[in-house]
Amino acid sequence: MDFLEDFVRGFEFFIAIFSGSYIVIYVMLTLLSFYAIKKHVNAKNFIREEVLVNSTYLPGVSVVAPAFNEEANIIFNVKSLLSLNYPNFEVIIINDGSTDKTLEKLINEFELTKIDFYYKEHIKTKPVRGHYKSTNPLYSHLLVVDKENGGSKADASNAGINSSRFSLFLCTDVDCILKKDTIIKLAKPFIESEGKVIASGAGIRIANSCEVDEGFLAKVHFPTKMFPRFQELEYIRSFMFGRMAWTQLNGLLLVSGGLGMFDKKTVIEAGGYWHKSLGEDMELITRMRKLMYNKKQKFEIKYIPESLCWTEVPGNAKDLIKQRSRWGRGLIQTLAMHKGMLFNPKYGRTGFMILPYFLLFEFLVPIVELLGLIVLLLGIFFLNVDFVFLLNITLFVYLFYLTVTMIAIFFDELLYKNYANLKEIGSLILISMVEPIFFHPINTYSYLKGYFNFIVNNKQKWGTLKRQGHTVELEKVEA
Amino acid sequence: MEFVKDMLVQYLIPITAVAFMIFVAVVLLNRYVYEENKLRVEEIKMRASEFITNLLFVKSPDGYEQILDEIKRELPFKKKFVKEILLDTLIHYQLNLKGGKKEMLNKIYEDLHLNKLSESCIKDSRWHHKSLGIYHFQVFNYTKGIELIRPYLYHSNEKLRSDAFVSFLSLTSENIEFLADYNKKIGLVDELKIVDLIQSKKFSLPSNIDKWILSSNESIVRIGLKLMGFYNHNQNAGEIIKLLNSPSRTIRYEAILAIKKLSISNAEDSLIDLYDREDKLNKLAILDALSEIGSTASINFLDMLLHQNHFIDSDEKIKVVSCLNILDSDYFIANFAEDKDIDLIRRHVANLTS
Repeated sequence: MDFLEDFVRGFEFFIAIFSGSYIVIYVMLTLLSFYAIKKHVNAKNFIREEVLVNSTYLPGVSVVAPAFNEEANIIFNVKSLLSLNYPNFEVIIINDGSTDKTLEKLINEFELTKIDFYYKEHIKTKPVRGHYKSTNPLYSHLLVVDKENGGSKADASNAGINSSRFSLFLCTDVDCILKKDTIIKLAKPFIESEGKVIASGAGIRIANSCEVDEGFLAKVHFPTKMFPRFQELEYIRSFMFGRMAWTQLNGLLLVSGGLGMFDKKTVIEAGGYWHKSLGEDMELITRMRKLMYNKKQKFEIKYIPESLCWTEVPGNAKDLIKQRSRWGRGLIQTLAMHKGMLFNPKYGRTGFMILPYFLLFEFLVPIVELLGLIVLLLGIFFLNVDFVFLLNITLFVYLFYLTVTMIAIFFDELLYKNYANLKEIGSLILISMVEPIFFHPINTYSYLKGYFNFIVNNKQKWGTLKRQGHTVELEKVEA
Repeated sequence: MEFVKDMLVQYLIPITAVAFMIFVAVVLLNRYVYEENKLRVEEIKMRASEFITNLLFVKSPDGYEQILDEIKRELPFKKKFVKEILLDTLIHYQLNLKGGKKEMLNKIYEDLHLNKLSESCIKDSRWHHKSLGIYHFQVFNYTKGIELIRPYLYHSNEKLRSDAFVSFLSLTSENIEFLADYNKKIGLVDELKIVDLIQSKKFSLPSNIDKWILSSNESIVRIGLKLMGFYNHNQNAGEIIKLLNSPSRTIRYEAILAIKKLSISNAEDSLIDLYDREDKLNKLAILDALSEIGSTASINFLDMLLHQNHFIDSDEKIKVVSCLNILDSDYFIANFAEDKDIDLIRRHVANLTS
């Protein structure tokens, strides 16, 4: 019993230190985020986008969008991508061996014909069957790449990168709805910055209840279903708050796969997306960082606090658990793969600040929470627990979490007023109060499941992703 | 332990609870006020747009004055937000209309005394407000305000200085010849702004443009080269060719672009000599230029490149084939008929450019 008591006391001490550091770091991130957003807003008129889009000196951009069994919406989605406002861009759709009529629909609608294409495999992918261009000058910006299914978005994206002709590429999902000025906004950091920018990203929002008209976003609504609502809140917090703070520190380790612009040369040098990764977007950025450090070249990764992309998210617990367990697995996989960078002076702030943060406060948190629960149960059954103190500390953590969430909502509301009315804002606030109780445990469970699967080396692969209108159904096969 | 418990109960819980409630109240209140005013603001925006359209198309001076009076009478004109709406509407029209209407919009800006609002922005202590006011002056060609801008030409804030510099250029009646001696750093973005300005305002080519391309300020050299290209000024071809030896990669790049734009055919040998020493971007630019000015020397050079087959990457090889195809489309039939790779590139280029 003495051992147990010592163990529990020791754990309590660890938790006090861990939570204290967590809170201090979050307060610092809040301040940094505020500063970064203010700086962005103040400088928004420095170079006006209308000046840029009229300039003949802008770099060309290839929009790379993989599609797998997307026959339901492919036509509208491609039209939406083709209507982006930028003087010099191409849209590359990669048909990743779809088993439905995705390619057939594209060929018929856009009057495509197979062309001779000088394809160089800068990044290794599954075989490419052919390239298609439209005979209609209206769609001259469109290139369709048809390839064998590679079992991952990474493989398809790599084929798109290999086929692209411009020095910058924007990676997105074909079903993502982008704002018309997305390219110019993401390209702006590459043009403005004095240093070398290797990637830029922006906010992603949830499209589940939005009104979409033929691939174009007609009206933004707060999701009506519970799980998308929780995720909406999570996205605001993550994009408005966390990533802005990290961009201020030039410490972004994640530019979302749904929306990110990259310097093609750096991506190719880094080896492109890793097709076996389950968190390929984070893994790629980590590898790009590593490459730049190895080359001893200064670089920047920029993030814009504006929502430029709307995407569907899992609508129920089952799909959410699958998605999050994959994210969890991707996280541990990336950290394990790049463990050599941790506390390695060669990798500067990535080795001493960013990766340790991800290790301690992203990877470790679900494990600490599980241990906390076990220790709590042990304490209740075998030791004298101070319930008043337990209640107080829980209340404090809960209130701190809510405050952080409210600050993110406050930034978002102040800047963009994305929601239709007061009622939707009220719902968002109410959801934020129940999120730590209902959503957070599911998230924690999913991440732990992902870690477990990684450790026991369970094979996990992508299955089909069926979309019907704006409902999403993930059918991922786990063996 | 007791200390931690006391801290929690007496400070940490109350502070976080109050912070949370304050943020909830602020978010809700902010949205409530926004929604309350939304309809009114939308209506004012609509009315402002109507009035300005009427002002633009009214025929008689009396009718014009009458509409100005109506604006002041029917809109809560003294309110700052109304003036901001009018300004935004005017800017929107200014950026989207062409011809004589632009002059008319400048007149409306002054007649509604919106220049006062711009002035107050410039006098504000925050740099981004100053920048906004300066931008208003530039958009509405408010030359009377130039003296308010001048002090910011050498301001320590780089962004403000840049905005002031571009607006000053836009408004000044002085010749822009003085830029030849400008020694402050000009960023790439500023270069874009300046070129946009020069092209949109249709400045005449500075008489001392030859000095620009000899400036010790790299930005001025690049802008000078862009201007020479824009104005088709090929009297300084010799100096442009000399710039191919500049230690600055970006100056060499700009010189290559100018050679292409001005079709300076006697630069061909210099470009060919330069090719091997350049990076990918400049190599591609040289190939573009050769496709414009190239002769037999270029064809022989490209032929040699294809036979050597030492390319940085496929982009370079594609560009070489494309260039050769432009200069002599029959050349492949005679020389590379058996080379499947080159034949594929040729068809690739034809497909992408058709």
